[in-house]
Amino acid sequence: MFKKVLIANRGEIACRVLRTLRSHDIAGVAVFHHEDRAAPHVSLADEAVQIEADAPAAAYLDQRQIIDIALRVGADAVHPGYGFLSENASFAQRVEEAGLAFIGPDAESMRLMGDKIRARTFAKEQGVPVAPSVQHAGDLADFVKCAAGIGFPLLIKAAAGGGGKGMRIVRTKAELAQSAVAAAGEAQRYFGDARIYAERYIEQPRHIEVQVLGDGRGKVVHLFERECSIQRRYQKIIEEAPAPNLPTTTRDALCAAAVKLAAAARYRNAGTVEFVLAPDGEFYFLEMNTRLQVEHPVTEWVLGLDLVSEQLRIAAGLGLSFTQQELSVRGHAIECRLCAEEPEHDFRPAVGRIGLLRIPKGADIRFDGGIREGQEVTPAFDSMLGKLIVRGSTRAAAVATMKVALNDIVVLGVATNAEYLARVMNHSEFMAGRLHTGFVVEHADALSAPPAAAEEQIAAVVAAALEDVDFRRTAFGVPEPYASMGGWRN
Amino acid sequence: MSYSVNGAHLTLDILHRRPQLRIKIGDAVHAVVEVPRLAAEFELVIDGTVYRGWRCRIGNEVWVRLGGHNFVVRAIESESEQAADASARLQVRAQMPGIVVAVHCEEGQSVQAGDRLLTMESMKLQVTLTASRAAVVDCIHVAPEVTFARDALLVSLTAVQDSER
Repeated sequence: MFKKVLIANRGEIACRVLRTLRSHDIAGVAVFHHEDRAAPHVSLADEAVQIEADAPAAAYLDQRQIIDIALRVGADAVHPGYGFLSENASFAQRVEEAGLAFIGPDAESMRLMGDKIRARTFAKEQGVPVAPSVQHAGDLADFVKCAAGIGFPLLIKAAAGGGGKGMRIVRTKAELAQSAVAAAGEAQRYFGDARIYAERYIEQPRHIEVQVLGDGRGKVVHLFERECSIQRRYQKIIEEAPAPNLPTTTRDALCAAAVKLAAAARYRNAGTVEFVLAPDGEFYFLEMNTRLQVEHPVTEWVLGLDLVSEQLRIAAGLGLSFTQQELSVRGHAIECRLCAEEPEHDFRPAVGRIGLLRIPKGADIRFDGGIREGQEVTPAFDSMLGKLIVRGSTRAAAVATMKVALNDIVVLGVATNAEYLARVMNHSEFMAGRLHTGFVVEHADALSAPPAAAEEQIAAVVAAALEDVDFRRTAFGVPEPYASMGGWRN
Repeated sequence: MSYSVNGAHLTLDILHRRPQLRIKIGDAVHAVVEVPRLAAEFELVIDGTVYRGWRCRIGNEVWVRLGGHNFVVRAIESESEQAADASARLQVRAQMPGIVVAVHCEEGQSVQAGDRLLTMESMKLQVTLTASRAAVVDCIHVAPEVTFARDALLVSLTAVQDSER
C-alpha cells in the first residue's frame, strides 16, 4: 500500500480523500494556490505545498509543478479528485512515466471515453444500446428518409454544435425536410460547419448512472445505480441511490451494460457509465466518466463501502476487496449539493464571506465540505460549497431526514440554494419519485420562494436590530460596557 | 429607524422600555422580550411567540436565520439623515472583493461628477469607479496591488454644493 499520496485537487474532494488516507495511516500531501492558503484541505493535510500560478484555478491544472512536487516530497501516488486534471489523459500518462501511481484509469481508457463519438461507437460495438442517430451525408431526401426511420419526436443537432444552437425538435415527418434545411443553415452560421445529424429525442428522460470498479485486467464489478435527474444549468444538484421506481429488470440491464462496456475496455479503477432512461423503459448510453464522481457518497452509504479506499487498493495492485455477489443495496441515500448561488435569479453564482457556518450532525447525516467559517467565497472556483448526504431505511425516511438537515443547516454571509433544495424535498412529485431531467424547469413556479411570513420578517428585523450595540443601549437604557455584553435585561 | 429586510422596507421605533420593551414596526406595536443566548444564537419572544435562530453581522448587513429561512437586514439612512449629510461625506465602497489596479486621483484633489477615482479588478473584469458628484477627495484608503474585501471603504470624499443649482 502507498505510504504517501499527493492530491491534485482542492475543496471538498481534497478533504474527502485526505480523510480516507488518514484512516489508512497514509500521509496526505495537499497542493494549493495562494488564494486557497486558508482553505481546509491545506490544514487537514500532513504536508502542503504552494503552487505558483497567476489565476487560482490554473494552479490545479499545472501538471509540471504538481508532478515535480509529488517527486520532491517522495509521494508514491497521485489522486486527481474530480474536475481539474482527473480526466486528462496526458496528465495520467505523465504521472505514470514519472514513476508514480495514478489513482484512476489508464490514459488509453480516458482517451477512448473522452472522445464522445469514439465512446459511442465502442459502446455500440459491445452491444450497449445507443440512441439511434442518422448523419446527413449530403442528400436531403435520403437524410429525411433515414431520419424518419428513427421515429418521432426526434432532435436535429449540429455535429459541431453546442449550447442548444442548431438544435431542433421535430415531431412529424412533414416538418422534417424544412427543419433539416433550417438547422443546417443555422449550423453554418454559428459554427461554420453545416453538418447535422438526427437523433431519437427522449421526452422527460431520467439520468441514471452506474458506478463501476475495474481491476485493470478485465474484471469489473458494478456498484449499482444512482439517479441524477434533478439538474439545473445541466448540472446535477440532487442525487440518490438506488433510483426510485426502477423495475428490477431495467436495473439489471443497466448494470450489466455498464459492466460489459467497462470490461471490454479493460477498465481500471473507478468509473461511471451514464445512461438516459426513457419513460417507456428504453435506455441509451450517454457517456462514461473516467473518474470518481461528486455523488459517489450515496453509493458508499447504501453499500457500506469507502470508494476512495477501493481506489487506493486497485491502484496499489491489491485488487478489489469484495466480489459482485457480496454486494447488496441496503436502505436509501440522498445527496444535495449546497451551492453559493441565488435560485431566484436563475441560479446565478453568489459571492460573500461565510460569517457563520453550522452543519447538522447525526448518525444518518454526512457533510462533505471544503469550507470553513470566515472563508471568502469568490468566483475563482466552483460555486459548490459542500454536499449534504443523508440515509434512511426507506426513501421516505431519507427524504424526511434531508428536510430536517436542510432546515438545520446555517450558512450566513453568502446566498445558498439550501432553501431551494428544501422546497424540492417537499414537492409532491419528488416525494413520489417521479423525476426527470426537466424537473427544475417544469416545476419552476411551485419551486420558487414563497413570500416571507410577515411575523418572521418582523422577528428578523428585531433580531438584527438587537445585534447592534447602539440599538441595545437605546432599547434597554443600559450604559456601556453592559450594553455591549448582550442579553442584558432590566 | 428604517431597515430593509430582503429588500422589503420596514420602519422601527422604540416606544417603551419599561415595564417591557415595546417596539413599533410599521403600524403595529409589538412586545419584545429577549432571552439570553450564547454568541450567534438568539431567542426572542415577540407578542408571546418564541423565535429562535442565528444572526451574524457581515459589514453593513446582519444575516438572520429563523424558521428555516435566511434574511438579510440592513439599516437604511433616513431621508432626513441623508439630507443632513448632503454636504458631507461620500463613501465609495467595494461591491465585491477585488484588487486595485490603479489610482487616478490624489488626496485634496477636487473632482467633478464622472471623474475617474480608481480602477479595480473584480471577477476577472476591470471596473473604473468614478465620482458620483462634485467633491473633494479626503482620503484614499487603498493603493495599487492592494486586495480588498466586499464593502471595504476605498475612497472618502466630501461633496460640495453644485454652484449651478
